[in-house]
Amino acid sequence: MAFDAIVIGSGMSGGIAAKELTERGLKVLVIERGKMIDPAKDYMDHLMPWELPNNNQMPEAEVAEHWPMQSMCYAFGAATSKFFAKDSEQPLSTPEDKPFAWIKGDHLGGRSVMWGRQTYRLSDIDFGANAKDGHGVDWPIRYADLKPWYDHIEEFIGVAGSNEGLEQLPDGKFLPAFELNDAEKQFKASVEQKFPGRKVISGRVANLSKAQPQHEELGRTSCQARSICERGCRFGAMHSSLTSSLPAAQRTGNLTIVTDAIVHSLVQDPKTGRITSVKVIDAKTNEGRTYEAKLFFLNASTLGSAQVLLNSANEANPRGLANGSDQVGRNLMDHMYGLATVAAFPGPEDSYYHGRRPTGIYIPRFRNVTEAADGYVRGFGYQGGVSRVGWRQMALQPGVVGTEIKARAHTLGPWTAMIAGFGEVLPNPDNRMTLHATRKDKWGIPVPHVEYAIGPNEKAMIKHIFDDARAMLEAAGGQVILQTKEPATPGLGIHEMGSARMGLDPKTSVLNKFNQAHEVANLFITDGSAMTSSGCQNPSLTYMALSARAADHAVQLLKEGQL
Amino acid sequence: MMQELLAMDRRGLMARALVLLGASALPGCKELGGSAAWKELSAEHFKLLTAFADTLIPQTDTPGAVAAGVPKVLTQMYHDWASDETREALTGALDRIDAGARKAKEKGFTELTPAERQTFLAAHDKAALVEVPPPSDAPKGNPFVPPVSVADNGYHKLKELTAVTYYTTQAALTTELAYEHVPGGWTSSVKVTPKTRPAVTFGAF
Repeated sequence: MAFDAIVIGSGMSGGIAAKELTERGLKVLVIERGKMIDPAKDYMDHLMPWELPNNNQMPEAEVAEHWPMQSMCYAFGAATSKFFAKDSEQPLSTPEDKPFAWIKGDHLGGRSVMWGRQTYRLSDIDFGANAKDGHGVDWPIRYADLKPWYDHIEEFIGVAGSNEGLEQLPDGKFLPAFELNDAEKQFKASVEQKFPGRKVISGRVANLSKAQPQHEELGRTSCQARSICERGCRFGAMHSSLTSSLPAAQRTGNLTIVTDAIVHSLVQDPKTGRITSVKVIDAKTNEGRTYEAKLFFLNASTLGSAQVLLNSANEANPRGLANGSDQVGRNLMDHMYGLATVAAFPGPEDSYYHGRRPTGIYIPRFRNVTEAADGYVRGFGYQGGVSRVGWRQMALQPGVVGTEIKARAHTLGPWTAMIAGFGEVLPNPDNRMTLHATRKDKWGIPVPHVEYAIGPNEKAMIKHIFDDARAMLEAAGGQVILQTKEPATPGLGIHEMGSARMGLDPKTSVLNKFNQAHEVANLFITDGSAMTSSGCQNPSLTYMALSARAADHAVQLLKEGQL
Repeated sequence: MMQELLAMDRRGLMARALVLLGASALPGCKELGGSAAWKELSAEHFKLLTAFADTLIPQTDTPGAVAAGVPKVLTQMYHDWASDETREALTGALDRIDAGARKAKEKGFTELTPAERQTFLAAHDKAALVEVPPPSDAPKGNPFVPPVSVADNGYHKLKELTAVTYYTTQAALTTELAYEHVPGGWTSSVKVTPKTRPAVTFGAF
């Protein structure tokens, strides 16, 4: 079968690329390195808590052998382990003293199946940040370029949220927001009154608070407030490639999917500079084969896409494909994560809530927007929530045994508030992925090697993240119980990005303003690698908007005979 | 109520907060030695485990740990799930409960009356869970899940595992707590009544 386009990777951005290309009439092949997933058979979201093996934990020895890194992700468990790559098969190399975690899907749909679903737009404050303070290179686009595509994606995937009129967090095409509970409303009122310019809003989330016709057409229904989304949702109430983008692509009749096919490299025609085919290795048989097309979308994830480019070095491009700038693999960024503050909170004792809301609260960035910062550029936002503590904190006290455990456990607990900062990280060329000089994986592909560390700007920001959190919680009557001390291992933000950045100048960037490789006309990269800066907002929505925009442009070029 | 909270198990609170945030509630990265060898809990240890679970969470007007099937689930987990290190920690903790009973009461733990077991276990529990500085070579853990360092780490594991298993059983989730697999929607405000029971969450929120 002849394909017009090949999309490498079926996750968050690859799914959207496939949808947009097939809807424009292209015959598209999606190549996925992981296994096929059949939601009807493979999802475990129907099992009751007591039906899951080992309290939803994987055997400890198996975890130590195969998933020591993946198990650091909250979504890892017996019900979801099939969605995580085995570290033992797909290792990542790092220096001993500089750990980096790569949380990695291994199935059709990739991490879109178990993502956190928080969905925020970048603003012109973000798109203009590099130009303003001189870190990294300027983004080749501004908010106006992406706005229609943000609209387009939000309407398709379904995002619950509220319009707030904030410059730093543009409004969107939202479904009704998940309402704050009574304690959160109290927190919101205090913060907004005592800190003018700061807002506490419902976390914008890609769950269908109210399914619309375009969702129902694809068999999706409204959110049932189960909050076990990472197991895959039979109701189709959260956006994933499996619920939305791939089914939309499938109904065009233009989509072919191949799974268990690991992309080894891209093959370039030395005369034209165009990519002609993709070399893949069958994950099960180790046999090699190639697929040809006219147009190529690389959506293998930030580290995966850089790995493919670097492993596609040829005589004319010894440093890797599309890498004349030497920026492939560099400028790796991941939001600072795990900077949490927990407080006892004087919420209304006679109030509770019902259902498990699939999101929490969000405090949009205010530092370097409405308030000055203290010796750093950029900023951070907070995610969190106020909830009543569960049985464990009530019951598990030293010396408490017997009927007292039961009495405490079934007493409704007090309110606690938790907010955690997500901090922007500057693009730094020394934060870098390369291919390991000697180590290869079981398919003979060089193992990625990551060297990554946060710098002085990030360290200065951390202090403010903690101080501001404490100040807001205390101003609202809370009493801080604990704070983490440092960010989590880099990578655990699971927002890694930047390894093939967009830019105006081919000498200092990999992709142009339409995510087209400066040096390879028929290659587009629209996953996290394209990000020129990180903002502090959860980035998946931006990857999807960039994917749709790039697909639209690529099809135009194809029709004009330019590819 | 806020003051009570300040006295609570901070590690547990942290673990919960960080599940909210999306971190692992489990000590994920710790390297555990393991073997595929079939390891069975001995009949002696099963008896001890049953007496322990029955004392920790007894029958009241609702099922206790034994009626809820906790010893059976834990025995299964002992071979299916636990690493060698965890197996040793669990049986070691059971052995120390028994040895403590023999020392204090001159009878094995299983031979004590329910009332004696309850009194003994409350004291044993309190002493076992006293926080101690971690040994210098202890794993650092990570900022989310600081390593447990109490007088009897194995006991901490045993108690937590037993309680978590109980509060995951159908019996506990339908009598002691509230669990609906498909709540059907989110209601942001519900009046608390004397019948209100805490709802169990298994996801991030």
